[in-house]
Amino acid sequence: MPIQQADLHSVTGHAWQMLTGLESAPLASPLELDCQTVAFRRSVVGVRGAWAAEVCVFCPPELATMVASAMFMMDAAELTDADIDDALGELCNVTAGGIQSRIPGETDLTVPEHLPSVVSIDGTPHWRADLMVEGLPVVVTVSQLEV
Amino acid sequence: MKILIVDDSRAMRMIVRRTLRQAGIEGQSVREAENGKEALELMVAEMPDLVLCDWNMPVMSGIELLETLKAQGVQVPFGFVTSQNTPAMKERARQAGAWFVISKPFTPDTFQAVLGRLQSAA
Repeated sequence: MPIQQADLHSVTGHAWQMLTGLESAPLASPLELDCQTVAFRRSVVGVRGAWAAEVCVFCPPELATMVASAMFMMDAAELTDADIDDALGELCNVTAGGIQSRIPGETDLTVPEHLPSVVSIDGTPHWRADLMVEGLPVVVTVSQLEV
Repeated sequence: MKILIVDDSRAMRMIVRRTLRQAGIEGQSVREAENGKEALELMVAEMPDLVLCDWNMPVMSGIELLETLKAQGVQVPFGFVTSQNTPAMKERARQAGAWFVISKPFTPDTFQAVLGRLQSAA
């Protein structure tokens, strides 16, 4: 198994703390989230090469706005949707970079992609870290792909 | 010092700009570009003293920008600020002529350590 669960929590918490200043609390077991009522925003970055995976960061829109507000140092009212996607994408990018540094072999990262509005959390990721940030849920998933 | 920040993320460009200030390395002028092609166009008008460049960007990547500059004979201190973090990437950057690679996420201390040396050498 190329990623340890503790590494995923560590990489995720480090990215959140360094980029946003927001402290995260790892959860031992997966959150039960009702994706019908919680409109998650998602950003995804691919790892390609000797090992391939999709790294996704899911969080509620209000938390994504907090992320953007912290990274841009701007009030929420001043932020555009593109700013929020950009900030969450960079958070996902740094998370993916932290995972990449723990994977043996040569790999590259893709540019972040943003998926709008309501999405469901992918059914069976190979690794998943659940966190609480500012009392709101964050889910980071890593789905390994065939090389 | 004129600094050019190249990154497709506006959020990251703002963080780099802020970190430069926190590290006491604020340039006399800081310009921004969101990909290598835009950076090349800016550099025709005004050559920076230092380029801080992301690795992975749409349109023209950071390594493509550096290789283009080298092919054109342009000598400018050039460093990568990137989430990419593998030995082969760092070796390719070094071979292409990059002065340094700073991994994201970074701190003002990281910038101070790397860029302070560069300022002293200037």
